[in-house]
Amino acid sequence: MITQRQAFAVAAVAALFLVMAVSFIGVPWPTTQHEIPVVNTTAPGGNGIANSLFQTYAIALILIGIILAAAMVGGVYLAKMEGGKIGP
Amino acid sequence: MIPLEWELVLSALLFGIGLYGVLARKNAIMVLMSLEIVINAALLNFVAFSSYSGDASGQVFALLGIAVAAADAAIGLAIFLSIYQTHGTVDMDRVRFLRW
Repeated sequence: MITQRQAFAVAAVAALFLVMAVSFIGVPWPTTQHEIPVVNTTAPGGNGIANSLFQTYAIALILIGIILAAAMVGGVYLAKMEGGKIGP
Repeated sequence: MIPLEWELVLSALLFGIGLYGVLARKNAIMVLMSLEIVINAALLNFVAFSSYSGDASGQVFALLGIAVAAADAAIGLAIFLSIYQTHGTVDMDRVRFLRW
């Protein structure tokens, strides 16, 4: 049993997928794959993932930690809310 | 070695599956899971382009994106739990108090 909503969603998603897939094919993408090490301890500014994570994006890592802590507190508050009614 | 086009098409397919779930599903938990599929499609693009350009930044952003996806899954589940306790359903057609 396919409802009208599912039919519309399938049509819209199929059209979007076709447009995206056609636009991806035929573009001169890079063809050589490089292996990225997890951590490069030989050079100070190495090309490893951990070098980039803890040096270039250290501020972003701290902000993600704050977001996770806030999400944990908010989730516990919402889940343990007693008596309060969400919405009208 | 997989060409980059295949990964992009796979990512577009994942995005389409997730978007269909967001548009057509009625259960809020299913919508949340479909949203995770959409996020993972974007992260797959990050990792693919990072691997082909030799720059680690894309994989770092993928790690940070996984953390953000975990945070919004936790918040979404808590909100739906609270809505279920007060309204008795998480059907997206019947929970209408955020629409005008």
